[in-house]
Amino acid sequence: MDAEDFQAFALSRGTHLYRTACLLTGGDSHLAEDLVQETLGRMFAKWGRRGRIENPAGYAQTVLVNAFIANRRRKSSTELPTARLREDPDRHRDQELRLTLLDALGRLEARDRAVLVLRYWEDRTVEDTARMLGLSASAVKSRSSRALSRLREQLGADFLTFAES
Amino acid sequence: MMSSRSEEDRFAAALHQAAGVLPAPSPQELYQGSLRRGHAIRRRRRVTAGLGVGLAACAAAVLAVTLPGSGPGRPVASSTVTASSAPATASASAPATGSATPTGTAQVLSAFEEMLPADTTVQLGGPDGGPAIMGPSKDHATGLWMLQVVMTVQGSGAKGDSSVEFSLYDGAWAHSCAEAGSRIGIQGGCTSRSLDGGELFRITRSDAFSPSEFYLWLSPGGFTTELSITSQAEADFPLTASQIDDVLTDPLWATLADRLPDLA
Repeated sequence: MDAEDFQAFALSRGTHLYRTACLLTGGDSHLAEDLVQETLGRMFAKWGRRGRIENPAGYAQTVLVNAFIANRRRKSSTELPTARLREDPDRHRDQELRLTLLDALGRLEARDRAVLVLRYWEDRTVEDTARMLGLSASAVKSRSSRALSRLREQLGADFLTFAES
Repeated sequence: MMSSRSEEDRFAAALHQAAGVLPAPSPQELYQGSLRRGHAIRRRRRVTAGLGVGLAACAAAVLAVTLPGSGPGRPVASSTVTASSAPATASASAPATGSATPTGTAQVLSAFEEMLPADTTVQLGGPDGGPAIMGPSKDHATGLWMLQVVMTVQGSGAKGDSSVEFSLYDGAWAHSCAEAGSRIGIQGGCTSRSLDGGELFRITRSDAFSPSEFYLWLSPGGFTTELSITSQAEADFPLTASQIDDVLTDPLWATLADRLPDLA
């Protein structure tokens, strides 16, 4: 195993994975950090073995999303993300909107959330997203459409304002 | 219903805007956490998938130490070895510097193994092909030369084994509990005390499934030794506090610290 390769990968991709995890968890920074460490830990356990990981960045995304969905399965479906980020009393407008978006994301069903994050944050195609989540392409499209619609219902005017600000 | 391309684009922009300003932990914290997690995963795999192989290796090793000509000490090995003939507390307190200073990583591995209590079962490497020793190499984050030894150790009477990781750095990467905790990614639960003219930080993580203890000794000479132990239960930790002190402050490390680049 080339430990330096893994270290370089983890250091260069860790922050991006963390941001992806934050979107998936609706802003739960503790869970996001835990998911990233689990993802990188699984990669470390596999790194350098026969059948080397050909596309570490893509592999990490897949592991992260699967770990997130598995984690949500273990938890109550009614559980809401922790509110650590939302407790800052000095948040200004952008931050409020950002947190509102994260909060709204956090209220979506886990797999719908994963669809949105993969499609619009990771810029994955419908087919890629379907493959990563084990869904059909049509299921990805319908979930995406449904989730966006729900976000719009929740955020109202803020949704568009935020995107334009 | 939001379905137009422009609205999707705006949502993508909003997502990037939101994610881009999220405060993130340092990559080093994530990296260190992933190492701990990765070693724990390997350890679990060994326990579940390698039980049969391990038992066979144990039997072979026990047979080996009972054969004529076998010494009481623990031989250098790349598989599971059990040494049950020596007193339980003998080797942890004995410096491993009875022989010449190691000139290769295999000798470092052997020397470290000799520092562990004699009644422990030690496994080097593992079925995943992971090494028992990594480096010496230059740590990207700290710029220090480091050497890491990884072993799976089961103490006498313990129900499960423990992941034991030892690292030697040729300098210091933390000078306080807060700094050490921040770099390791474990907040709180840190204590410090003087040890052999240097300072020892002890950080604990009380995880119900994999409690761990992390020790960092800043030597008076400027180099750092680090030991982390992760078990399935605190009762399974294979080293006592004094044995941990002895491992961290073994005179061997002072002789090696300045020579890490030469061993690479």
